[in-house]
Amino acid sequence: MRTAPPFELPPDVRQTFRRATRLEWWSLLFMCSCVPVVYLTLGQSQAMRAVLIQDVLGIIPSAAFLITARIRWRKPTQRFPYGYQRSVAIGFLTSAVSLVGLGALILFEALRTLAMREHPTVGVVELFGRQLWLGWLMFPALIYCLIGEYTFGQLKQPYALALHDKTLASDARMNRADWMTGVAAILGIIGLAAGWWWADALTAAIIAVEVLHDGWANLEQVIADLLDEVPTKAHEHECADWAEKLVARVRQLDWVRDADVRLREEGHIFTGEVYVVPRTTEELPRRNAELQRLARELDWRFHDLALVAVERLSS
Amino acid sequence: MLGCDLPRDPLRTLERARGGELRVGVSEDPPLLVRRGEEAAGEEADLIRGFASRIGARVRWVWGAEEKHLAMLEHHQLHLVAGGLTRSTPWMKKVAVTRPYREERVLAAPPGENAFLLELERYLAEQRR
Repeated sequence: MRTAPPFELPPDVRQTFRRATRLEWWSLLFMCSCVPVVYLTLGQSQAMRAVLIQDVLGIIPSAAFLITARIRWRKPTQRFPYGYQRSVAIGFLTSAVSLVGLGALILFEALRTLAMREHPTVGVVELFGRQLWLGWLMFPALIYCLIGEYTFGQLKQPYALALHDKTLASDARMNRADWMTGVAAILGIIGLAAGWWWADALTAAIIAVEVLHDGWANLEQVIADLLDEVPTKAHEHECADWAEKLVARVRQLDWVRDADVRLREEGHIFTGEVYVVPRTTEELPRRNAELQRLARELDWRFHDLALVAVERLSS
Repeated sequence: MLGCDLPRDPLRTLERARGGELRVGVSEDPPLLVRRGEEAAGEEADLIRGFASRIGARVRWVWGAEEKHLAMLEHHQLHLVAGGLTRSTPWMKKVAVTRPYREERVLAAPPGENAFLLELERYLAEQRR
């Protein structure tokens, strides 16, 4: 079987990609360090448990990015002739489903606690020979996590835009949600310390809604990707006019009477069909090669477009 | 604002017990806890009396079955439960269980009364030394 040609990144993009990969490694290490830090100060606080679950799930986008970064550039094979670009959807689907499931679970637990009026007990630990209320230790743990999450979230944004990478974009979004729930958890613990037993469960419920929201947004996106949605924005500052630009460019060619496209996204790349009503079919192989080059000049993400000569464009 | 009186008890258990009555649910567990009429004797009884005098409270011993006491504790009808409790008790999540004060033995306090628990744990830590 004829496999798709391997996709080559432009040198500057490759450089950016390498930097993003390094950033994701640091982010992954940091998120992994957050898990034991939060775990050690858990107590019976539901808000802290919600933060813990969110931190564990926060590892998935970074891990998905790094794993697919290795897989997606593999050459297409006889068995997978279209290549591995879409491997990212698998990681994405997993994280989205677990976010929705766990978000629902935390929400249920929190609401149950509120309804049953269960008072959370936060115990005592010995630190340097002093007996300390565990609640006080939650603050440094949460502050450590939220500073890192805030920083990484900010650092990832420009890469998400430059690489049109949805994993990175959702990772940055999740970091943002993570540090905001960290702030919520701090408020919850302050409330608990002040003697408001419901502050903890209420905070957990708020965090759960945030987790659910995250998961739902990711789920929507990955389902759209799996259904071959037209290329869409990975970052709010992008402009999704790739199809229009390509059509306009192809129509300018002298051998083209009329043209249209059908595009989809495969990981980083845009691929699909270019339908052309040709004035002439002479030298079609050369014209096809020219089309690929033009598309690539327009945007580095265009790859392996199929040129289809048709009588007319009606559909 | 973040003063020394934090954390506070949602139901003010510590505040109310101070200078008042400490209701302790006890079940016999010789030799650490033995019944003498309505009074209690043994090492665990002394430990609890020590805590009561620290917060300026009188102890009122409530004798009965441990399971019943723990249920009462969960509903804040007692201040403490003692008598053969360990950290492997299935009530771990329903009431506030202290750290072991001697081998595996623990005391149980009302759930969520974090100031009371902190005071109790500080006392137990001092006694361990």
